[in-house]
Amino acid sequence: MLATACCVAAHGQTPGSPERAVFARSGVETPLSVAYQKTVQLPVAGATAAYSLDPNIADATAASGLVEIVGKAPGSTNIIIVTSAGAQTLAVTVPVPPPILPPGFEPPERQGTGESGTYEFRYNSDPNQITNSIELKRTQGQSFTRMQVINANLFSSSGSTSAIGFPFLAYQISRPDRDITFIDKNVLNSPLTLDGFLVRGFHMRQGPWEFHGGFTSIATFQGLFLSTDREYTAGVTRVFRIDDVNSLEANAYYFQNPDSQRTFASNGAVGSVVYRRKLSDKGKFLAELGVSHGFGFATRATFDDKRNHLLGNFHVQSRSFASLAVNNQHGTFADLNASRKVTERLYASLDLNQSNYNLLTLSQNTFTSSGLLNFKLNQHFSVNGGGGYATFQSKIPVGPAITTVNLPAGVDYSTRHFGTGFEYQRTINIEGGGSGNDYAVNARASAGRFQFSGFYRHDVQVPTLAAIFSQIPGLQDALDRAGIVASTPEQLASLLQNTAILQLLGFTNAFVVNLAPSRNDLNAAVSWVSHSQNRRKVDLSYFDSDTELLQGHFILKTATLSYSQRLKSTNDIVGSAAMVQTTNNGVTSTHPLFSISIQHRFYAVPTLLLPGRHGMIQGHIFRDDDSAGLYNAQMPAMSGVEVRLDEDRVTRTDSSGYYAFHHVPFGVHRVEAKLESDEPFFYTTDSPATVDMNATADFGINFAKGQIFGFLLNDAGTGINGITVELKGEKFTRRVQTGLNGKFAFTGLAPGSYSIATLPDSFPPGYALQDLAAQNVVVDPGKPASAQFTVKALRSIAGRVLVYDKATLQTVPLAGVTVRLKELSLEAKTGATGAYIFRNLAAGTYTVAIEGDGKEITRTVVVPAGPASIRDVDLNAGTKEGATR
Amino acid sequence: MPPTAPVPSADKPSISLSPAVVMAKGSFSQTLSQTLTLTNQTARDFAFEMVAEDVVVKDGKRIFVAGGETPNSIAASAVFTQKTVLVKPFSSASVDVRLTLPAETNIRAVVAMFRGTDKLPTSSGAVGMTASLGALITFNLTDNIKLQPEPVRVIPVSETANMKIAQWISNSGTEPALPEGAAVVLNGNGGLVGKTVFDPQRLLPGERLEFAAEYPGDLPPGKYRALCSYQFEGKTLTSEAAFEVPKK
Repeated sequence: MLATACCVAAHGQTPGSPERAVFARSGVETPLSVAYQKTVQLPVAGATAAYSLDPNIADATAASGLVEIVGKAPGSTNIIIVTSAGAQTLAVTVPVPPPILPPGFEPPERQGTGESGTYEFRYNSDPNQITNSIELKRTQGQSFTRMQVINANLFSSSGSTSAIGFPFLAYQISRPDRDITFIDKNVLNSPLTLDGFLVRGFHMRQGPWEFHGGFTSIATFQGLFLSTDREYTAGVTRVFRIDDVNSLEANAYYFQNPDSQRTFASNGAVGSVVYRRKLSDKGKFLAELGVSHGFGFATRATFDDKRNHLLGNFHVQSRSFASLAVNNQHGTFADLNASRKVTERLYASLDLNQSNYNLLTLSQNTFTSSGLLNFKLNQHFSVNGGGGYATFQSKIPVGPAITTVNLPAGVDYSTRHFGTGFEYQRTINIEGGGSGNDYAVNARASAGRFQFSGFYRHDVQVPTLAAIFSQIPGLQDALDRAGIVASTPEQLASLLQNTAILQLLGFTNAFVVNLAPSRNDLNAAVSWVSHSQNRRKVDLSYFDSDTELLQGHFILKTATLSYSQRLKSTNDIVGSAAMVQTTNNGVTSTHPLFSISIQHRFYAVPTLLLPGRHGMIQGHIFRDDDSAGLYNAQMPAMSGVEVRLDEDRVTRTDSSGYYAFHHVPFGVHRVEAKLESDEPFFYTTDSPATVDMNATADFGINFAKGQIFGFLLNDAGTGINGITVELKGEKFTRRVQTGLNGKFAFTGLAPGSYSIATLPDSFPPGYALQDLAAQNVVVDPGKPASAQFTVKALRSIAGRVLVYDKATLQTVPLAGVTVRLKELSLEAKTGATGAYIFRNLAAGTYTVAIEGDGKEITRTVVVPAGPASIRDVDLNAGTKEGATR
Repeated sequence: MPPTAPVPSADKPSISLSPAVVMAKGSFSQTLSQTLTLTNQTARDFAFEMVAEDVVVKDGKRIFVAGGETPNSIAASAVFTQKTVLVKPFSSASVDVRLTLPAETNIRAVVAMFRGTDKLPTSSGAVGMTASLGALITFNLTDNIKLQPEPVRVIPVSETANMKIAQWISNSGTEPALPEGAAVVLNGNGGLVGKTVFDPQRLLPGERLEFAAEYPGDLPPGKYRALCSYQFEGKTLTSEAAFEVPKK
């Protein structure tokens, strides 16, 4: 169909001189950046076509003077734009799209720097307080240094709190084999010694030994720092590792409490033994037996896998067992939380809790248990049901005994944007009150950037605490909002456990538990989250709780508005305003609450505060003639060789080939040996090498040896195999044999002159050996030299000329006949026996001819490349009467 | 490096080397370390010796030269972590090779080879054979990258073949290049009527290869232009030729 085609020389560029991509049109920066999956339109006068040289990265089209470029994948390519003036090139880059990170995640370029930190300024209106918190950390491999400071400025201080304080001060230096912390540390040693207490003093771990000494004067509750009188402690732990999963610990601690706490806690020493076991990576187990003014025992276990979850604690401690006063765990305590995914649809959970406080001023027994089954009917619906049993009895102070049985049941509906549920619970009070029906409904929905949620809950026979909070401003509010809303036995048990510490510390008076006839809670919340990079978020919530007391009502209403956003990539701001109104037996109190917090993230920390580690990089530079690539002290040293560190610091090796860089900062460094030599060489180790601080970087150098290689050929150009070639140097002689193609090689030769010869004895028969001569070859440093030997192969054609004698009826030799070798125009006369011979022939195809009976008689003979004595090339000259002349 | 644990595979029996090609950039007197992994997906052992050979271009064609037989040989500096390696069935083995670039050299490619040392069984009477696999390692050491294009040729469509756009390109610089590009057909108005891509081909210094692409479509009678464009190492090259499709 296509009849002809006309080929013309290429134009549009100068052949052989390609240019870097340029685009002639002014105003367009090259390379043009086109965002991933975005389109850029570019007016180019006269553009009729456009195409990409890598359509996987960017594609291009053109029409009516408008070029459209689409970014398809990160990378760089070129777009050819065709105009009437010719083809123009436009370089295009499609950058990697910025990662979409969930809140709290940092972009990759900020990770791995090893330096991080946060600062937070916070103001609270009630209590009227400013808090400054700063944490700086420098991580270097498995080591780190950290500084933490929390400063609190209380504007309305009372007699028991200082106006300006530092609730937390810590400077920690951690190494794989040693950890030192100055001032504050939250010590988690063991259940019977220090179990999550803030100790101000000195802390150290060295190998298997661990020491903590100081005092605690801060208790934490619901995020608040509560001052206490100083309680002193000092102790040491020795770890005995049995194997990878089992270990034993021996603890020896001493506790000294202030006189005001003597009635709650005993002074004295504690000795204990702890057994720990790791359950692969799914769980762990601990058991501790202790002796003081009595005995103590504690055990803990956790286990988690895809189907099961288990968390259990048991703790028993006699009343006079020595401890810090803030440790209120004197008595017997046990709790178990377990759940199991029975099938893909059925989920079961069980909770048990037993607390028996045994203190001088507090004696309470609490037991709660509950079990719940949740069954998923289909993708959206699920039902649940179960039962619970709880008892509470307070002997000191005396309070009413309460025993309840709960039978909950409920149904839930859930989709991606909407969910709702209804819960019903039959509460039966065996002791302490009547029975009733609890119910609750909840709902959630989301639309676009808005999320809505709410619930209404009606409870009967609600356990409530009657207590008076005194010393800390705002504590009452904090407890109102965080702890007082206890409507289930589990919440009650937790509340009692938490608030017991307040009573021990003197922040509350003794409290009792009452049952309120009913309570109605209503909550509604709406939130809005922007999808922009500054992550704006607005939350508005309202909570209304109306508790019917035995006499009157207690009503709590709170409305809270909070706002947060990222100011820059490193700064966040969070503000909230709340209005809290309480009505207790008709007396209404309303007060506002404000707080604002500004947070800043650091990605660099000052060296003055957290100095980094320094070490050295050292090594040897050695001659590695065997290319072993590993240094040992017997190898010849190379002195005076330049070594560069990070292209910044330079040193040279000493007479033993040793070099060292001191005061090298932590991290990965580039070390390079820079040998200046006229003699060719190569490194037998990496150069440059990449090494960590305190590493050794040895450099092996092998000077490139010269070599002589060549071929032994016959006169036909064919290699001769198996011949011995001898090389003679000034001090040595070496021999090798030729390969199949006649090749030989002598490697590893020092510069100099050598004599090479073939050994006649090693030749097979058939070669002319009289002219074998040695050759002198000069080897320059590191360069190859070659030699070639050619040996003549002996080749001949021989035969006889015969004739048939009619008289004797026999074939007889014919003498004096001229035999011609046509290709070489050679002639030979047959002798008396009719024989002839042609010698010293080259390889090839020959024609042997005679004249007989008036015609030419010929034979064709192929003479091979190797030595050949071809015989019996006989020629029949015919009958005797017509014999050849 | 010892061979890894056997991994049974359902794939067809094969031996493969990874990576097959390494394109390195650097400067003279530097070293390059590269790990080569040979995977044996057959049911028999294979023994190899490790060798390196320089790749030089002679008369436009590549030839392999034993290390040290060429001045300023790169292959002569090859240091392997193992001189020999045995690869068990359904397993793989890795060998590191370290090459030092001489202070000056014209060589820009080396092949690091697993050279088979044992004969493979073949049908009775046939010549035995060995299996050898090599990784081509090229070096870009300077900015002297030059490609010399020859005229664009348009071979017309025939009863048995598509229209073909072809062009010989030779590497007249000192560095290897890997041109990739496209050929387009423009009508008389300069509008694009067809596009096809060239398979990338590696050009060592001195090497000359033909870049060809087929255009499978039918063109109506008229005047056309064929443009061939390539990009390599940040540079571009465009050539064109006019041709005509006559009326039947």
